[in-house]
Amino acid sequence: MSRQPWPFLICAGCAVLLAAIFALCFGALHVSVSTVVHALFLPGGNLDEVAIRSLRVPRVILAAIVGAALAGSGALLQGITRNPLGSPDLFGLLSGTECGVVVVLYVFGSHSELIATLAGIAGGALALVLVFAIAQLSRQSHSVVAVAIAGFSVGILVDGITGILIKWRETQYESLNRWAEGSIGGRDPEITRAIVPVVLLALAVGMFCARQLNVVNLGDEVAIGLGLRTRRLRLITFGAVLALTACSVTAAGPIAFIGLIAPHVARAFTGPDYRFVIPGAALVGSAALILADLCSRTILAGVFDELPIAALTSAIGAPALLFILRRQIRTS
Amino acid sequence: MTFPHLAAIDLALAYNSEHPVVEGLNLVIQPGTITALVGPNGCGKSTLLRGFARILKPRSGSVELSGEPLETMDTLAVARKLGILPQRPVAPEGVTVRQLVLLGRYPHQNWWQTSGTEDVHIADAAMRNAEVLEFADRLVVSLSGGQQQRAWIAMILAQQSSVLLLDEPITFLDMAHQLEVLDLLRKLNAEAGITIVLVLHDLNLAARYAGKMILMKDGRIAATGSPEEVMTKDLLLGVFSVRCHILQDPVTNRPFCIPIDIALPD
Amino acid sequence: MKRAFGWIVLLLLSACLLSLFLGEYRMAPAMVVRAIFSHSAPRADRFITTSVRIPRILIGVLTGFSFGVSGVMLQSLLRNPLADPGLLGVNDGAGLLVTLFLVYFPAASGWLLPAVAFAGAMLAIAALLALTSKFAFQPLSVLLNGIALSLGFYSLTKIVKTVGDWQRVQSAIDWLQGNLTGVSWPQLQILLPWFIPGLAAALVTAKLLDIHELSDDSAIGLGARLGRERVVVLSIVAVLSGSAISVTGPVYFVGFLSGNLAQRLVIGSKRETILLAGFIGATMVVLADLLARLLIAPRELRLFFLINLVGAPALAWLLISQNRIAKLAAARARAHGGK
Repeated sequence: MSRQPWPFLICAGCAVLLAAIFALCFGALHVSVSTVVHALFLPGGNLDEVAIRSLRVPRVILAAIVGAALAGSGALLQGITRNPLGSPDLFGLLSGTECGVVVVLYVFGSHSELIATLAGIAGGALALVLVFAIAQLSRQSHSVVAVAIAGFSVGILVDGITGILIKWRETQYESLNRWAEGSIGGRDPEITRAIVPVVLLALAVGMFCARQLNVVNLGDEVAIGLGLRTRRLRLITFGAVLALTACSVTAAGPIAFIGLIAPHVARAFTGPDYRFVIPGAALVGSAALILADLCSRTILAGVFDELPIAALTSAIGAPALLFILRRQIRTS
Repeated sequence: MTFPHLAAIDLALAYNSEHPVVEGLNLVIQPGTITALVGPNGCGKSTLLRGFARILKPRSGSVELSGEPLETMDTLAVARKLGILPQRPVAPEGVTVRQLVLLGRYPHQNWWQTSGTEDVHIADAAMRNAEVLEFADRLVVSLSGGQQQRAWIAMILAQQSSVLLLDEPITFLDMAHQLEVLDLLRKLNAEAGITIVLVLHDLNLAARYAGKMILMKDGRIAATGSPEEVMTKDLLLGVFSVRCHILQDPVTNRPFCIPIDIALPD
Repeated sequence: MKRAFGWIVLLLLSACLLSLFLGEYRMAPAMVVRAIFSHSAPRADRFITTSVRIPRILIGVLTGFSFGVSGVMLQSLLRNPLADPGLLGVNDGAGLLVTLFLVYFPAASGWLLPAVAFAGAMLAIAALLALTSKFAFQPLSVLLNGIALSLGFYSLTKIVKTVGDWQRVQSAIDWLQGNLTGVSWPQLQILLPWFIPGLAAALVTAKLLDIHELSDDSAIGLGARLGRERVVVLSIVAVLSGSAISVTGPVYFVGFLSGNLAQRLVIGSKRETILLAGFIGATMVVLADLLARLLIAPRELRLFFLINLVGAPALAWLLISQNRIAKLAAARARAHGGK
C-alpha cells in the first residue's frame, strides 16, 4: 500500500466532522441536520436546539478533544520510546494520572480542577519513573517487552491502590465510582472548556517535535550524531504526553486503548513520518471516540443502559492489541 | 570417543515458508578434519551450519550422522555427539565460568541428577583444555571477548561431543583473541581428533587453519577442497565479485588473498 | 548461600508464629499453646486456633510457596527477570470467570467459587498456549500475548462490573482484591492435591530450566526440546498459581519478587533457587495476611494492597542493588582489559 499521508489526513478530518454531525443528530432524541446547524450557529431556538447546544455539543466536543489528546499522547510516546506499544495505558500513565487525581479530589477533598490536573501530571510522572526503573531489571531495559511488562505491572499496582482509595471514600462521594470508570457522559462542561486550549497547545508542541522524533527513531547514537539534543527532546515530549494524559483523565476518566491503537491505524496510512502520524492519530482518535460515545448512547443503550466508554474501547481494543502484537512478534 | 562423519544429502533448508536458503546440497564432513565454511553474506553458510546442528529442520533431503538421519535421532543423543557454538552466545546474568561449563554436562545427566564429582572433573578438564581454568569462578560477562569464547568452547568440550560446530566464532574479536580461539581449535583437533566445522568471514584465517574449505554462493556449494584448491583468483572472482592476488603466506605456506578491487559482474 | 536459606526459613517461621499468636481475638500466648495441645481449653480458643488460624497460616504458606516457585520458573523459562505468573493471564482469567459467576449466578453455592477461579486460570493458559503455539511458545511471544490476554480479560471484567447488579458486583470486587478471609481446612484440602504434584513437577523440571536460560540455539545444541518443555513448564506454573489463586484471589508481585530475590541470594542449583523462592513467597503472603488481619481490626484489609506494601521495600532493594551491580560489572569489565 503506497503511503498517501495528505489524502489520509483530509479523509480523517472529514471523518471527524461527519462523526460529529452524526453524534449531534442521533441519540435518545433524533434531530435533523438543519436543527443541528440552527443550534450551533443561531442563538435561542426551540427546546430541541437548546438541548442540543447544552447537552450534546459539550459531549461531542469532549469526546473529540479527549480522543485527540489520548491518541496524540500515544503517538508521542511511541515516537520517543521507539516502542510500538507506547501508550498511556500500557506505560502505567493512565493509572498513575488517575491515582493522582483521585488522591487530590477525593482524599484531600480539593475542588480545584487545576490542582487535580497538576496532581494527575505528578502521578503520571511517578508512574513513568517507576515503569522505567522496573524495566531496568531486565537485561535489555529498553526492549519492547521489558517496558510492556513493567508498564502492565505498575498499571495493576496503581489501579489497586486507586481502587482501595475509592472504596475508602465511596460513601462520601457516590459519583466517584462512575467517574473512575472513564466515560463521556455526565461530565462537567466547564472542565471540557478548560482543557481544550491545553490539549491543543500540547498537540502543537508535539507537532513541533515531530521532525526530531523521526530522527530519534534511528537510535539515540545516530540522533546525537545528527546534532539532536535528545535529553531536551525527551523532556519536552514526555511533558506534552503527561499534559495530554492528565487533561484527558481529569475531564473524562481513564479511557484505554485509544492511545495505543489510533497511532497504529494512522501509521498504516501515513507511514512512519511523525509529522503525519501525530495529526493523523489525533484525528483517528477523535473520530473513534465520538463514534464510540454515539454507540454507547444509541445502539447499546437498550442493552446496557449506557455502557461507559472505557468498557467499549477496551472490548474493541484488546483484540486489536492482540493483532498488533502478532505482527510485532513476527517481525522481530 | 567414536568419530562419526556428518553428511548432508540433497539438503534444502529454509526459514518459515520462504524460498529455500540452501538447496540441493550434498556434503560430507570427514571425521578429524577442520572444515571452514566461507562465502559472501547471505550465501547460506550459517544456515547450513544450523542445519547440521539440527536447529533447522530440512525442508527436503536430510542430514546424517554416521549414516543415521539426525531427524530420527533422540535430540539428547545428538547432543552427546555434536556441540554447537551459535553466533553471539549470551550467558545468563550472574553465571560463573564453571557454572556455564557444567551446563555442558546436561546431555549426559538424568533428570534427577545434579552435577556429581565426575561431572565436575570433566568440566575442570574441559576448562583446562580451553585454558580458562583460572577464570573458573569469575562471571562470564566480566571476561574479555576471547576469554568468553574460550569459556563457551569449554562448555561444548564438557559435552564430550566429537564434532564441534561454530558459527562465526571470531567475527567480533580483535587479532590476538582471534588467534587465541583458532589456536585452541587447532589444538583440540590435533590432540583429541575432534572434528571442527566453522563459519568464517576471514578467508586468510580460514586458509591458515582449515584443512578443507567449502566455498558457498547462493545456497549452493561453489567449490570444495584444500585451501590451495579453493583460494584461486577465478573462484574468488566468481563468488565474491572481487579481483584478488593470491600469494603464498611465508609463515604457513598456505594461500593468502589480497583483494584488489570490486569487479562488477558482466 | 546456605545462610540465605537459613535466614528466610527463620523469617517464615517467625511470621507463622506471629500470625498464630496475634489476631483480632485476643489470646495470651500461653492460651494459644493450651488451645492446641490440651482438650480442656475453652472451646472458643480451640476453635480460633485450630479451625481459623492454623489452617489460614498453612494456606498462606502453601499459596505463597506456589507463587514464589511459579515466579522463578517463569523468569528462567522466559529469560526475563520481570516475569510473574500474572503475566500469563491466569489472574485475570480467574477474575473474569469469578466475576461472571458472582454476578449472574448468585444463588449458586459458594463452594463452587474456587473451582470457577481455577477454571478461569486454566482457560487463560489454554488461550495463551493456543495463541503462541504458532511461534513455538517463544518467550517474547508468550510474554506479549500474555499481557494482551490479561488486558483483554481485565477489560471484559470491567464491563461485567459496570453492567451487573451493584450488590453482586461488590462481592466480586471483594474477591478480586484478594483475601484469605474465612479459609479453613476445606480450602487446604482443595490446595494440597494440586500443590504437592505441582511442586514435585517443578523440582523435576528444574534442571532443564538451566538450559533454557541460554539462547534457543545453545539450548537445542545441548539437547533441549524447546517447544515441548516450554508447554510443560507453563502448565506447571499455571496449575500451581491457578490453584493458589482459587483460594486467595488474584495476586501479583509475589512471583516476581520472590524469583528475583531468590536468584540474587542463591548461587546454587536451580532446584535450590526454586525452593528458596518458594520460602520467600510463603513469607510474603503470611506477613501480608498478618497485616491484613491486624491493621484495621476488626475489619480485614485486602491482601493485594498489603502484598504490595510488604513487597515495596524488597523491590526498592532490588532496584538499588541492580544499579550497583550494573556499575560493578562495567567497572570489572574495564579493569580486565575490556572486550
